[in-house]
Order: sequence, then structure tokens, then C-alpha cells
Amino acid sequence: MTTLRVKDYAAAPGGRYRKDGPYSGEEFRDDILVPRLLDAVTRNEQVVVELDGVSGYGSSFLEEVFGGLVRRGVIAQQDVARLLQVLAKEHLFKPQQMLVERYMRRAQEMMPQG
Amino acid sequence: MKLLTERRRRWFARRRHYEAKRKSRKLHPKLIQVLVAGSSFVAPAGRAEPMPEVLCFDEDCQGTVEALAQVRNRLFTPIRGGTQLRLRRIGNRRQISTGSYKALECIKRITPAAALVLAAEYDRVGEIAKKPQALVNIPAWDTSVRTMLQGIGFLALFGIVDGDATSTDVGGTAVLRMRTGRTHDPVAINDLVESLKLLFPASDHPDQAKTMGLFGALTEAVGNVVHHAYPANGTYIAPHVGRWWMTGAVDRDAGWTAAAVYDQGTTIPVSLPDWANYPGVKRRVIEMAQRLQLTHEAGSPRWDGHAIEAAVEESSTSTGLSGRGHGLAQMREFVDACQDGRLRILSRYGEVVFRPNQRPYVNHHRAPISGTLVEWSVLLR
Repeated sequence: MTTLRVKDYAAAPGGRYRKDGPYSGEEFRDDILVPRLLDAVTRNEQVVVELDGVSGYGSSFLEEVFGGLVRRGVIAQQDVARLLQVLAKEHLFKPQQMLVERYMRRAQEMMPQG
Repeated sequence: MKLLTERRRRWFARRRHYEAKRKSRKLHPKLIQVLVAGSSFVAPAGRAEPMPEVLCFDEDCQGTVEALAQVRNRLFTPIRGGTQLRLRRIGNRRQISTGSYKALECIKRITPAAALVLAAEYDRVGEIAKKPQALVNIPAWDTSVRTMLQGIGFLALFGIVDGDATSTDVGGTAVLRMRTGRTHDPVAINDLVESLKLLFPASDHPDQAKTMGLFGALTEAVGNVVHHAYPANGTYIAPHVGRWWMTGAVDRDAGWTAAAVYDQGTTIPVSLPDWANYPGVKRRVIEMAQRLQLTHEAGSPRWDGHAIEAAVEESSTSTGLSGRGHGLAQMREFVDACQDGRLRILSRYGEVVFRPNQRPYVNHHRAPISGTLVEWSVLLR
């Protein structure tokens, strides 16, 4: 199991796209999360992303990281739950954890079937 | 002798009147202090254009928006016609006068959000004109107004820097120096939120979940500016510099925290047709028109308030994940989570105020705000 803490990447997560400014969702997904996930796939491990310890989240950041991950098809839809777990240890970040689950579910629903 | 026509007679009378006025002003100019680029001197005053006594979006939104629109128009006049200071000839002497100016000395009270918009207007003109703007008659300004403008960083635009304090007390309110930028800068947003937390008394900590919510709401507001406010082919009320401005304040007595983000972009009602979820927004506005038994005119300034309301509502229920304006929902959810307070969105002619568990207050004004102002006032305790 590999644990990835968002706070190690940014104490204050930014916006959606890399071109918008630093600490964006796109940057976190493509530069940090995806390489770890691909590595985990080869080793058949799970990646745990911890949301705690940051100043807060804009919905754009979370949607781009986790919704975008599903839309990009980095990992097969049926493997998402097995390979990726998004965690909030502190009670404060539970709403964000639920948001992430919603974004991933919606992204899956909107993906073309087959 | 040929008789004057009535029209000609009126024209002569008007000319006589203005000639006499001009002569009187030339002979007895009122001298006032002028400040340009950090240095001050005394010069004959031009015409002082009055400003309202109170600049506050809560108390008199219409009057405040109109006054700020007049300031904008006044500031852009010298860009078209030359400098704000005029060289005038009195006999053989040449003297600088102020030209017409907005009399900021009329203002007796100004709120942080209004001060932010005012400062942004001067900041924009300073950047576009690339020459120093003049401030007139500062000694006559109300002390609290001067302190507020000093605190927010307005006077620093003119070279008056009074220490490097990040916050200033105006009455019972501590106001933060404004931040400005062009990119989505989470560090600046975090810095603002952390600075707001420090303004609370040691015995009265703000709720951590609420400060996290404020960070998220501010992040989405700035994100909306960076994504949507300044499109290359956009139409603008005035020339822009592609920036956002942001400030915050804490009323230490009542415990209210205010935060505001302002941009001078293309406005929400103008950019709506480019939103991915525009059909839903349009449907909502038409439904509102039917409910109010009014005829909907698409794009009409009268409908700007309803268009903003519909955009926020659509954003809250939309399933379009990366749709434009998705962050509007989070801005509103933050106020709902605080259980008390309000979110005001002013964009072009429209105004909408959201309060928890209440129907939004919707209005439109006679004058536009040049861009979009998003302002929260909440209890963070």
C-alpha cells in the first residue's frame, strides 16, 4: 500500500488547470498521483490518498484530480475502487471525502459505455 | 437690425453665463492640495464632483454602484483627453490645476468591499495610463475614510506608504491590505485567510471548518475570474488589466467576517451564453419571468440579477462536472454552512444576495459595476 498525502504536495491546493496557477488539480493528478497509481498497478498495490492537513479545497481541484482521473481512463473503471482509496482521517475533511466519491461516481456515469 | 431668433438668444445667454463663470474661476481659484506620485503641492482646484456620504453595498447599493461608475468614467476621461492635471494660463503665468475631480472628501463612511472596488478602479487606470494619477484634497478627507483607504492599500497606489502593517483598525473593524493577481494563487488566498484568523481576539478562535470553507469559496471565486472573466473575445464595460483584487475584514465587536473578490471582467450575465450549462440557466430565467408575470428579454440589463441567480442555482444542481461557473455553487454552500450571513454577487447591472434558508434577494441597478464583485459576510465563530 502506498500512501499519498495531499498536504505534502500543497498546504493550500489551488485551482483546476496547470495554466491557472501553482498547485493545481491537473498538476497533482498528472505529476504525483498518476505515476504512483501506474506504479501501484504493476505491483498490484493500493494507493491511499489522504486529504487531511490542508487549508481547504476548491471543488475544482478535487473534481479535476479524481473526476479527471476517471475521465482520462488512467486505470480501468472496474479497478478504480481496488487500486485507489481516498481517505479523510480527520472529521473536518469527511465532506471532501464524500465529494470525491461523488465526483468519481459522476465521472464514471458520464463515461461512454463499452 | 435683424432680430435674434429665440434659439440664438438662448445660445448667447448660455455663453455669457459660462464665460462669466470661467472668468470668476480664473481670478479667484480655490487652492487645494494635490498629490501625485508621492509628492504633494498646492494648485487651483477644478470642479469638485460630489460623492455620496456613504459607500456601502448593504445600506445603499444603488447609490454606491452609481458613485463607483462615475469615478470610473471620471478616471477614464483623462486617459482619452490627456492628463488629469491641467496646465492653465493666468496672465503671463502658467499654472497647474486639477481639472474636474471626484470629491472623495464628501465620503464619511466606506466599507471594505466598496473601498476595494474604488482602489481597483484607480489601480486599473494607473496601469493602463502608465502615468501617475492625482489625488486631490486629502487633508479634507474624513479620518475613518482615510484610515480605511490607507489600510486597504489605496493610498499606497499613490506612493503614500505608512508602515508595512498587514491590517488596520477602522473603528471596531480590522481590515486587511488588498491582494491582487492574474493567476489562481492559492498561496495568496491562504495568506488572506490566515491573516483573517489572526484578527480574532485570542479568546475567540474562528471555527476551523468555516475557515476551510472560506478558503474553498475564495479559491472558487478566484478560479472563476481566471477561467471566465477575461476571454480574448469578450466585451467589457471599460478597458481591463486582467486582474483580481481581494480583501477581508473582521468586525471585532459583532464578530462578523467579510471577504470580497472583485474583477473587472466581462461579467456573469454577459458570459452566460458561453457556459456549458447555459440552456439550463436560460430555462430557469424564463421560468422566473413566468412566475413574475414579466416578459423576459434575453441579455437585457433588467434581467441581470435573475441571470446571476439562475447561474448559481444551475451550478448547484448541474451534473456537468467541468462546466463553467461550477464554483458558484461552492460560494453559496459556504454561506449556507455558516448558517448565518450572506453572499452578495454584483455583476454588470445585477445584484443577488443569498442568505441561508431564504429566497435570494434579486435586484438590478441603473449603473453597472465594471465586472463582478463577490462578497461574503459571515460569522466564523
